[in-house]
Parts: sequence; C-alpha cells; structure tokens
Amino acid sequence: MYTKSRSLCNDLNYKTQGNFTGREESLTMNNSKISLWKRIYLWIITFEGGNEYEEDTTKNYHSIPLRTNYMFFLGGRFRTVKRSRHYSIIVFAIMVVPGVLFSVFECSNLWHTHHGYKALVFFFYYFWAMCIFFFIKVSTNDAGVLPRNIHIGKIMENNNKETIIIPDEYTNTIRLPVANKNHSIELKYCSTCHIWRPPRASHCSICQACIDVHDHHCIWINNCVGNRNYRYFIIFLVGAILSSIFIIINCSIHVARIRRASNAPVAILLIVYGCLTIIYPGILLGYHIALTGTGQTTREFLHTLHGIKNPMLSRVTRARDNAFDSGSFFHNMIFLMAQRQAPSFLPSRGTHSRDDWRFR
Amino acid sequence: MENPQFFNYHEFSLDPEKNSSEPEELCVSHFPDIYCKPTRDGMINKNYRIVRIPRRFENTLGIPYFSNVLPGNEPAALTYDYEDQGFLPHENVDGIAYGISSFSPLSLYISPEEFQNIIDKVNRFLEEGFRVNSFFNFITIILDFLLLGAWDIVFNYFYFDSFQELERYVQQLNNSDLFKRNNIRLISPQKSGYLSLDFEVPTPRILRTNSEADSTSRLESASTSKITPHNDQ
Repeated sequence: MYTKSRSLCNDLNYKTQGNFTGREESLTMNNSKISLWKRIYLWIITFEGGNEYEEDTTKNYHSIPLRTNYMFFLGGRFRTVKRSRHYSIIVFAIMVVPGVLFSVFECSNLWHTHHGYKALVFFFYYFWAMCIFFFIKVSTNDAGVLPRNIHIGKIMENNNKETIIIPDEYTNTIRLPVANKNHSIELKYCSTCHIWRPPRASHCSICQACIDVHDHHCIWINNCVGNRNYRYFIIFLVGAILSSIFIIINCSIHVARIRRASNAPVAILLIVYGCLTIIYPGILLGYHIALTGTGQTTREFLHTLHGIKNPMLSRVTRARDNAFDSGSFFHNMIFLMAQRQAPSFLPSRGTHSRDDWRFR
Repeated sequence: MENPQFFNYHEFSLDPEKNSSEPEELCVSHFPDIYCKPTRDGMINKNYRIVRIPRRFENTLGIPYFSNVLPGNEPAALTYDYEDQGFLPHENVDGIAYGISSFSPLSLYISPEEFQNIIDKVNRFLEEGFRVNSFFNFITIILDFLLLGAWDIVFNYFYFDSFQELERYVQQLNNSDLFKRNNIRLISPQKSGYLSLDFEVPTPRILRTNSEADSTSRLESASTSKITPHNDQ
C-alpha cells in the first residue's frame, strides 16, 4: 500500500557515477573535427563510444557503449558485450567446423549417388545456415534494452551539476493488482537505469542495462535473451538440433554404403560430433519448452531454486503465485515463445541529441 | 495477504521546507522533464514538467496497458475532500508548485473523459501491436523461420504496424487544438520505452500576492494562487 513516508533521498551524483563526465567531454570537444580515419574506425568498431559531437546530434551507437557494456560493429549493425569472456566465438567455430568438413569430405559422395540423397544434403545445409544465421541474429541484436533515466524522481542542481535524487518510495518493492484476485504483480525501481521496471524486465549486470522480458544472459551467445530475440534463440536451438540430426543421417548413409567404416574417418568423426553437439541444444530446448509451458522465464525459475547452482538438475514445476501462468501449457508456451517484439527503444543506428537524458 | 490496490507508483512524498508553517507532506505528482531541450547552461529545463501515466496490469500482463484514469482518480490515490476538483498547488519547492494529493497538473488541462479517450486509443494500438495471437505474428514467425531471418528485414521496410500508427496518432494529438491551446504534449511512448505514458505540461508555480503572503492559511493561499505556464520554447 502507498504510504506517505518521509522522502529523504538517495543521492546519486553524476560525477561519481561517471555519467556526467561523458557529457562534459562531449561539450568540450564539440568544435573539434573528427578525422576521416577515426570516423571509419568508429564505424567499423565502436568499443568505448565516441565522445565527439560534431553537431547537436550523434549516432546512438556512439553513446550506448559509454553507459552500457555493449560494443558495436559496422555502424551499429551488430553488437556484442565487451569485457566478457567471448565464448560466442568458440560456439561459432563449433557450428562452422562440421559444415566445412562435411562440404569438403562428405557432400560430393552423397550428392552424386542416384538414391535421392540430394534432399538430405539440402536439408543439412538449410538447417546449418539457419543455425548460423540465427546465432548471429540472437547474439548481435538488441535483446530489448530499456531506455535510461525515464523515471527520475527529482533533480537537484548544485554548482552547475545535476544530481539525481531517488525518493525513498522508489526503493520499495510495490505490489499491484492483476486480473486474477489471487495474484498480484511486483514492480521494482532500477536505481542504475532510473526506471520502474515492468514485470519480467530485469537489470543485467553483465550488459549493464535493463532488458525487457529478460530470460537470461547467455554466455554462449554473449548477449541477453529477452523480448526482442527470444524467438530467434528458440529458432537457433531448433536449427542446431536439426543440423546435427541431418549431419548424423548423411554421414551414417555414407558409412553404410562403404564396406569398411575405417575408409570414411571424417564421416565417423562427424557422426560423433553430431551426437555430441545435439545434446546441449536438445536439453536447452526441452528445458525452455518446459519453462515457457509453465509460464516462467529462466530468471524466474532460477529465483525459485534458492541456491541450487545447476538448474539443469532441477525439475521444472509450476511456480506458486505466478500471475503469468494461464493454466494452459500450450498457451503459456506461445505467450513467451511467440511474443511480439517491441520496436527497439534505443536503436543503435538511430541518432539522438547530445542532451538526451536516455543516453546519459 | 490483503489484496493490493492500484495507485500511481511514480508519485512520492516530499517534505516542505523546514521553516514552513505547514507540517503536511507534499505529494509529487509531476517530475523533471527529461525530454525538453535543456537551458543554455545545459541544465534541465524547469519550465516544463512530466506527468507520468503508469502501467496497469488488471487487464493484461504481457502488453503495456496504461491507466485510463487521470492521476488522482486511481483506487488508492491520495485525495482530500476539499480537493475533488483536481490539482491544487499547495506550496512551492525550488520554484515548483506541488499539491498534497495525487492529482497532477494534467487535470488542469484535460477532462477525465478526454483523457480516457486518449489513453484507450493508445492502449488499443499497443494491444494490436503486441498481440501474440494475431495472423501477422504467426506468419512473421513462419516466414522468418523459412527465410532464415530475412523476412524480418523485409517486413520492417514494407509493413506499417500499429506501433507506427501509434506514433502518428501521438503527432496528430500534439497538433490538436486541445494540446496546442494548453501548451501540453504527449511524449512518444516509444521514446519512453512504453514504461509510462508521459505528458509534458507547463510547470505549475504559485504566484502569491502580498495579501496572500500574509495569510496564515496554507490551503487558502493554495486555492487562490495562480498557476503560470511558461512558454519560452
């Protein structure tokens, strides 16, 4: 319930947060011209952001890295998380290697037979491409980053410095009614992003941003899985499983058609490879089907485990007091897996004025 | 556990100045305008304030749905019997007037009916845009799957969805006579990430005449005070 409590405030100074520093720099460098090389370099890779404002507006991908842990490539078309372990490169290599081996050693054997194996080869390449494309999409796209500083309570000015004041009321977790009278929903204020987070949104400490419908931060794709890339994540898993199945089928046919298996070492290697690489995506997909069917995100499920470090060993059960659980497994699953993507709130290729608080 | 009631979770209470004769806490129902162009020295523009319309969850959980009652009319809003007409400035703090109830300065410019019409329309656009069980959503997923993600790129170029229609509606609203006359503006909800629906209103300020300054009754001075909208844009 709402209480009229005294509102002494948490004081978050821009100077101490480092937020205002970027702005000061931008203002002092306002008149400086960026060299062509610097401009090209910034377009190719924007690691720490571009503080230089030639005009009153600047590209979003120049400013976002100053406040978050994202870095951008090719004019903001792709992003990844900097200052993290880049396991995504290893995952990418794991996906590419079998396709290359198959193309070099196996493909022609099946393609030139007269038993209609061409379709199987085609399906392998199709799902392999699906796996790679959606991996790139899920790992380099905006997961649903929410804008900053939308819900500032008060701003105090002192010696030409602006200080954000967080009222005491904003530090409480509040409960609000939902349609089902037996349930309620909890909202929390993010003191880093200065927003009232909608239900299911959470602040990712690795990406340093609040993500809408935050499922989890995936170290294997080096990005969060949220509202804007959840469906891609599922398609990526499906692609990984199907490409593994088809590489096993194709290579098994090759092994079956020769007299001695030792004459096709690459085919055997790829069968083993396929059997190994199907396990993790398979478990993960099953896990997400179970989670979404019970109306939970990974984050919500982990909260219910209380200290169990490996969630894979825990049985997925329906959470108590889950306002999102409609009671129907299929409906819950569709609700999460097919959720509509909101437009990107901070489109990396867009522009903003240098005074825009959402980028401070 | 007691069932919670809906209220505007953006508002908070503020202690009046220590030397104030009025012990009552103020209710902050309007907030700094982060969307407005700052002053020349780069500080936040104090001529405008933001009234935030919160999201409600009784109707739907997965789709942003904004409260369609004017702030101050929510079930658990702070209200006083003598303040049933809307926002009444009570005291200036740092040159900005605050009331003691949940009513916001928006109630000075828009009637509850006009407000409900606007919000209902915004909610309809959002419902259409975020609806999971729609033909377009399933077609998009299937084509995205079949065309290896290429459909999403094509789709964004050629399909005008309800999010864009909502943006057009916001522009249309801001150009309307009601909004221009009252010098108010609805901020693009995409800009605020659909976290709240933000109305930009002129900063309410209490201008006291000498006779009012002599008055000992805070309530009386509030009710007779004038609110001065500032237009320096």
